[in-house]
Amino acid sequence: MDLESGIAYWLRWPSVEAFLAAYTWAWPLMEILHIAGLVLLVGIVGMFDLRLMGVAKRLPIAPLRQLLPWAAFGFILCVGSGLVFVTGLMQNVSMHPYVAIKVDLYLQIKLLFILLAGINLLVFYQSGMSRAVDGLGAGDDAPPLARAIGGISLFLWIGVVYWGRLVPWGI
Amino acid sequence: MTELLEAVGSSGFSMAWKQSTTGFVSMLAFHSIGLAFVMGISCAIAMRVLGVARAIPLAPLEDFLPLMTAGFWVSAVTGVMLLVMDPVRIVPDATLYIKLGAVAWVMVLIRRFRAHIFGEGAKLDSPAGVKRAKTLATQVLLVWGVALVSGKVMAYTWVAGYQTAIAVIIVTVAAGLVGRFLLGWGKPVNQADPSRQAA
Repeated sequence: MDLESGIAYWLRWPSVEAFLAAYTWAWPLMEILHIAGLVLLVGIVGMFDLRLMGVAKRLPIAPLRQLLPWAAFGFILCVGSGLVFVTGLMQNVSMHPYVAIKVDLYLQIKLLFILLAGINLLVFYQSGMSRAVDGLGAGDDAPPLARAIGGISLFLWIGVVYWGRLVPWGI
Repeated sequence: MTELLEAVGSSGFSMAWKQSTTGFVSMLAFHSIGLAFVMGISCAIAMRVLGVARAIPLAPLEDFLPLMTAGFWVSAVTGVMLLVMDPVRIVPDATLYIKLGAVAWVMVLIRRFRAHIFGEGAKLDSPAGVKRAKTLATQVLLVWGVALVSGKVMAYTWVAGYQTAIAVIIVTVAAGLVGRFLLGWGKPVNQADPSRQAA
């Protein structure tokens, strides 16, 4: 089995397709979980990014971090439901998920934005900005690099929502 | 009534948006972005009031409310435009009125919540005031849930819609039970620790 057919094999899960075929509520339930996850993720990460950018400066940054595990939970909800969409796609639109990923430009842009958001997060931690902003109290400005990282993060996550909503029209 | 809806659906404004290659989908996308802000910020504040991330001081969260309001208006305007593009299908759908009712209700709740938490003489210095704040926060989360589910199932048949609603209720209750008994949600905190004071 070559790499391409291996990926195509792993992307299509007949058991997920059977589950989606058997229960009409399964696909809309996954959509609802996907949106709930997105709301948690974008709402909370957006608040954190905006604070880095200078909004709500009365708020110290360290306590705001306590909300971030819920953003991570939102991301897990999105990834889990997204995997069901991909692996069970044949049941919904009669197209192999590998083909969909290859032809759907919107999905490709969405995945690229998620990758860039991940790299941006990595830069936030590796550059020391994560530790630097922890000490910021009420009224303090974040360092320019942290503000830039916050702005990029907000742009990328809004982009993920935008391109993600367009995915069904890209097939 | 049908003639009126058909007239709206075939109006120049509606046709221009429908025939645009990006008009309809962009409206959908901005509807979702607005929703993410209005729902995300209000849910995050409600969660804080319910005891999540207790170290966050409540008062500064008020500074996010203008963004929440902006998110609401983006969603509202794009929602009306989506309706105008396809009124014949959307307007007769009873689920639309559940969604609109839930959105109107949640806006009333948020106004009360805002006045209670951030208004003049915020009433959080008594157990009754804290209890009232938590009740409002719970209602905000639940009614947003109704708005989200009803909005999503509008694209499906009635049968799929109510089955999905039941599935969502089961998943929510199961998540609540897991949170309560495995993760300790809702258990009293150590009041001696000032960073862990209730709302």
